[in-house]
Amino acid sequence: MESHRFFVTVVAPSRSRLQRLRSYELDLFRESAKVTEKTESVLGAVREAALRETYKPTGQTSQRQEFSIDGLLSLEEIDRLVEDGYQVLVQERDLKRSRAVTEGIEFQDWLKGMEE
Amino acid sequence: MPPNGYLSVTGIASAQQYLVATYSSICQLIPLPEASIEGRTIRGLKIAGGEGGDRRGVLLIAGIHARELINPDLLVWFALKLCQAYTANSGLTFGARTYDASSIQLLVNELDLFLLPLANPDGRAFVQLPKGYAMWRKNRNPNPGMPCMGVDLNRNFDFLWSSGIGTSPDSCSDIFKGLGAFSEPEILNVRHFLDTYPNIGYFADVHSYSELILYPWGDDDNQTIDPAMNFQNPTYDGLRGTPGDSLYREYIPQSDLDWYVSTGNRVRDAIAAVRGHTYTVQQAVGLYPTTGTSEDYVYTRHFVDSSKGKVRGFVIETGTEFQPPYSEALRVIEEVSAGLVEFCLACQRTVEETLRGGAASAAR
Repeated sequence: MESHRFFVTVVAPSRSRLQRLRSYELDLFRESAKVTEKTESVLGAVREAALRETYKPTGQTSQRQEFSIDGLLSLEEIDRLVEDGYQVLVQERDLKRSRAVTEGIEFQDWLKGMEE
Repeated sequence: MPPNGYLSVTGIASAQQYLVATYSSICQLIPLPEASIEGRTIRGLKIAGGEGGDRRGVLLIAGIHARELINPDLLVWFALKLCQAYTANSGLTFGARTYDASSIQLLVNELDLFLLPLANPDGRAFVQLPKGYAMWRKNRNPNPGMPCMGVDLNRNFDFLWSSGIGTSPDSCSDIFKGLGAFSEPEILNVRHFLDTYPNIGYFADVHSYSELILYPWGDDDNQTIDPAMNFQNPTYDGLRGTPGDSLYREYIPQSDLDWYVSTGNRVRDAIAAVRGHTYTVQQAVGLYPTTGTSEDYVYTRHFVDSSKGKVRGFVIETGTEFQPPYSEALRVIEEVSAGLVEFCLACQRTVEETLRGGAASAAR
C-alpha cells in the first residue's frame, strides 16, 4: 500500500522556476502546466494622522504571470517544495478521487448495461 | 441501467474475445509477442472490412498509465460501436454529433484500424486490487536490485531517452524511465505493431486528463526553418528541454505541422459537438518538456530510418480526472469516441489526397 498522497497545484513565480521543478522528478502532470495572467491592485503608502504608514488601493492595477502545474505528491514532497519557495495548493487526498476498486465490473455486466 | 464501473483486466480481455466472436468478418485478435512483466497476455485488435488492398493503418492505444482507467474502456466501447454500426450499415450518434452510415462504411472499408486497448494490464490490475494503489502510474516491473517497483512506460520509448529531460533514473520516481529505451515488454508491443504493420501511418495514444489534444514535439518548442536543428544532431545535446529560449527548437516540417493543427482542430470540433467540451489543441511540450513518450517516438521513426513510413501521432488527454464517476466516464467516452471517428476519417482523407496527388504527379 502506498503512503497517502495528495492532489496538488504547484505555483511557480516564473517560467524558469516552473521548469526547474523537473529536477525534483516528481509525479507532476506535464499536460496541466499552464500560465495564468493575474491582475492585482497596486497599493500605495498612505501616511495617516498618527504618522502610521498604511497601504491602500491606488486604483491602478498591475499584471503578472503565474505558472502552475498539477501533481500527486506526498507530504514530504510538498514540504520540500514549500521550503524551496513554491506555493503548493493542496486539493484533495488521493483516494478521494479513486473509483478503481469500488466500481470495477466484468464484461458481461458492462455489456448488459451498455445495451439497456 | 448503464454500467456503473470500470472494466476489470479480465473484462477487457473478454471484451476483445466478444468482439472477435461477434464480428468475425471485420474484427480479429492481434497476438503480441510480449507478455506483461507479471505474465499477462496482451492482445490487440484489428478492425477492417472491404476488399481494398492498398490500405493505410491507424493505431489507437490506451492504458499505458495504470491509473487512467477510463481510456481502455473507451477503446473497447469505440470498437464495439464501430463494429455494430458497420455490420448494421447504420450511422453513429454521439450526443449531438452524428456520422452517417457511409462514413462508417468508408472508415472500416478503407482503413486498417488497429487497437491496443490495454497496454499495461499489470498496472491496471494493481490499481483495481483492494490492497493495491488506485493512483499507481507505472508498470509492475520489480526492478531487481533497485529500491522501488515500476517503470513509467510513457518515458520508456526511444526518443531522446538518454537526455533525461522530464524523466528520472530513480526507480522510486513516478517518471522512472527504465534501464534503457524499450526495456519494458509492454512498450515493445507498441513497437511491434509499427514494425509488423508498416501501413500504419497514424497513431493516437489516449491518456488522462486535461481535455487536450497534443502533437509533437514534447522536448522543446517547434521550429520549421532549420532541418539540421533536430533531435538526432549531437551538436545540440545539452541545449534541449527549455521551451521559451532560443538555444534550441525541434524541427518539424511545415506540412506536417499544418496537418497536425488542422487534424487536431477537426478532432477538437468533433468532441465539442457532442456536449460542448472544447479540448485544446497544442504542442505537447507546453511549458513542461518530456522525452521518451509515445507520440514523439512514432513520429521519429521515419527521420531515423528513411525506409520507414511516416507515422503521425497525437496524444489525447481525456476528461478532467483519472477516475471520474462512471456516469461521467460514459460521457467522456462518448465525446472522445466522436473525436476518434473524426481522427480516422481525417486520416482516410489524407490517404485519399496523397494518392490523388501522386496520381496527378504521375500524369504530369
